[in-house]
Amino acid sequence: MARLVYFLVQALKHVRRSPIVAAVTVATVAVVFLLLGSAWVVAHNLGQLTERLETGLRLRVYLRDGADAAQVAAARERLVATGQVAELRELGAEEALARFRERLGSEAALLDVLGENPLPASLEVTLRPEGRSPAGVRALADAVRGLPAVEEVQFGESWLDRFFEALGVMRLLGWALGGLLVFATLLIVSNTIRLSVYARQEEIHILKLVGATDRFVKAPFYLEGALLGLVGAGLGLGLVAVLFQAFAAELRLPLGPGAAPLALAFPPLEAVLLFVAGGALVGWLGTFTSLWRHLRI
Amino acid sequence: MYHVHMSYGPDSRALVDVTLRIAKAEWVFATGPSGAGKTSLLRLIMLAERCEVGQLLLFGQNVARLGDRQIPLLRRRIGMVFQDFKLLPLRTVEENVSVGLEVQGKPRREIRRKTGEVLKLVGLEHKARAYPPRLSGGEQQRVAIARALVNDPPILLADEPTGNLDAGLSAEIHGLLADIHARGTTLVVATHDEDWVTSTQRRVIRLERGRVVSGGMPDG
Ligand SMILES: Nc1ncnc2c1ncn2[C@@H]1O[C@H](COP(=O)(O)OP(=O)(O)O)[C@@H](O)[C@H]1O
Ligand SMILES: [Mg+2]
Repeated sequence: MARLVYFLVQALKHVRRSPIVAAVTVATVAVVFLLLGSAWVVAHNLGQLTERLETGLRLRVYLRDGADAAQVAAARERLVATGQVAELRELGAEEALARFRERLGSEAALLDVLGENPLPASLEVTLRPEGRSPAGVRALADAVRGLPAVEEVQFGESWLDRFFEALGVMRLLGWALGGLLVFATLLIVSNTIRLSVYARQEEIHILKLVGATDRFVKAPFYLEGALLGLVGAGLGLGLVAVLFQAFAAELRLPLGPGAAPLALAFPPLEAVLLFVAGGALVGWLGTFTSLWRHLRI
Repeated sequence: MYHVHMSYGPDSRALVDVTLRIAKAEWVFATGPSGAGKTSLLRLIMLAERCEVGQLLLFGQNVARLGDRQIPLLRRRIGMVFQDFKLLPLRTVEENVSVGLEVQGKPRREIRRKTGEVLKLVGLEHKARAYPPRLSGGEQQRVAIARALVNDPPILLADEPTGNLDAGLSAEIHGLLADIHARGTTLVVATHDEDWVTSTQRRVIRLERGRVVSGGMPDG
């Protein structure tokens, strides 16, 4: 503990001796974490949106008009056997018509013209949360397609498929860009520590001569790097929080008729702290590469 | 009890085929013209330089091929007063002295007590909070000695400890080193202060162009 205090004091002395370099480093880390943090908040909300959309993913299996009870039972069995089904409802032809009539409201009289019920009976399948993805729904559809009782299988709207695809690409791009930014930060911290090491070559040399271990010499530099990273990330993410509060906290994302609009959310505090700790980690790694390349003791 | 026997790299010629032996609690001088290898010899003993050929025994242990991780531990048992002092200009006298204990992670109270003790020994307790660049040469010299002593090392190496001092200050340092030796510390002093060497009547290892000319062995 006393040693940690000693190292921390040394690290702070390093910062104090070159305040401008330290400030520039912190500012750079802050900008990078502002970008990363913003992307993160967007990703967090897209994740929430995805979840909401996926909750709505359903499968409708239209039954052939003349299918008998045994054939329908076989179809039901096949669905349940996949283990992906949370809820299975059979919607009779009459029920479907009633629902349709309700939807049409005042226009319902139109249906009377037809005389005969045009709607088929169907099975309404809700998936278990684990299976709620376009692929999961497709797998379930494939399980029953072609059975004698099944006329047609309908699932998700096709735009949803494309939405998920686009989301996947964006996620990949986000990771790549984020990785690049983190790498740049690492180089900047590394460079700062390099300057710090050069400014202290003589001191390092003397410490070694009076019996300091390499670890003793290096510890303040690690703390310095981690500190710069931590403060920078804290500032960057703090700025994201302020901007979010000012511009996005009140926004509601409409999800279409009938669905509750989605409120934009800031990620939970633990996740934010972890993200800021990531800044310290980047600083630590920057020091590591710097010492590895520039410290010969 | 330890003895040093070593030869040094063929190109640098700082020390050539040096064989010598120094007993525990002995006081020896290393003399010779400038560039003879006195500093190199002391640096070699504290493993600031490594011998490429030969054996170096310290505390009964062969340290010629000692691993990097062991070196700091060995250095804590050897105090060295450098010719150019090697003080940290941005730390106070007190901090300069205590650094030898800090690198070992000693408790704060012990560091404070011991630092006060050696500063008193060299007569600098009133300058504890001064910065080395503002001290006179003699004061800096004494800070360097205090730092070398703060670990209570069994061996003290002093490189020209009176090299740039006037007669009065030199006499003070002479007395101080005699006291330190009297406490049982093995003392190796590099100097070309011939008067001091003759008046002290200790063994003299004479170096010339990296070779031991005389005095390499006790009673030799
Ligand atoms: N760091 C060094 N690099 C190369 N040569 C050195 C170095 N230090 C000393 N020498 C050489 O080693 C020889 C011995 O030097 P040194 O041990 O400093 O002598 P002294 O202390 O007796 O004056 C000299 O010829 C000197 O030029
Ligand atoms: Mg010399």
